[in-house]
Amino acid sequence: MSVKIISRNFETPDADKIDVYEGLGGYKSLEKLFAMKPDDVIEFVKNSGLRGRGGAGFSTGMKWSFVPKNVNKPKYLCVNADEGEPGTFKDRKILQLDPHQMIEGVIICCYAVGIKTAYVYIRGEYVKPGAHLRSAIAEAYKKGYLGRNINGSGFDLDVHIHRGAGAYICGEETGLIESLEGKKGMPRPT
Amino acid sequence: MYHKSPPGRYHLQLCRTLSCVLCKMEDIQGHLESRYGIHPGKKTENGMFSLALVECLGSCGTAPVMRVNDVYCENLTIEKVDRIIEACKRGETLEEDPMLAH
Repeated sequence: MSVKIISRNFETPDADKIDVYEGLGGYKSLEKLFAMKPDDVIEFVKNSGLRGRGGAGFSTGMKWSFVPKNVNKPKYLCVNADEGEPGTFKDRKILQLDPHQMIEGVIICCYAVGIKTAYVYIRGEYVKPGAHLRSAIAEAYKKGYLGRNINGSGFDLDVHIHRGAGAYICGEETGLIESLEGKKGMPRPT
Repeated sequence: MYHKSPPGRYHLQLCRTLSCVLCKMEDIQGHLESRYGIHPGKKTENGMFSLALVECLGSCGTAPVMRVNDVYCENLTIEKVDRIIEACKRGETLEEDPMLAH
């Protein structure tokens, strides 16, 4: 029998509403999270075997550990919701049916890596998923899971949504960042 | 998502990337063209429909897929397309499957 992980809440009605999500155990990880040191969170995620779903299956914890520590420059998290890789179709479902799962993941990542501002780049065609995510973020702010001093931890985090304008290539990491910065969404030459 | 000329009242975006092609989007396109006279890159004379063939809409699990304005229409069949077009003609609001049909 297969074990549902990402899709475990997809069939629960209204799992995109924060009360329902909390009832399913949502945002419970935050207590544990804020009791840990950021570096320990990264180790924990490394050891969990969690991997990216962008195609390469790269270790999530490893990726987080590459972010420079103790630098004065601002750090941002970019969440790539510009899905359009033939054969994948998870983003729309996550955003529309279980957006709080993604927000909780964003909080965990930002705490571990030391980020206070996150941008979700969502493809323009995803009108409905975008609307669901927007209301989910508003709910999370209201409950104190986003914003200042989350859960009394002293940790601050803001999450912004940026809608794409309909460009296939903006799912590519550097193209996405260019577009996010207000430039033409073209990949950066290496 | 940007138009150089005004689209039809119902702008159809039919996906032409891998998964949708494998699931016979060409039959859907053929039906739109032969039955309704809706052709890619064109608008019908009454201004009701326009059609664009687009790249992956990120809904491969429910291919073939078409957007009608902002609404995703999934698991398309000829019969489903007929229902959609007729509903548009009657001016009805299309609804997406709330659970995003598996």
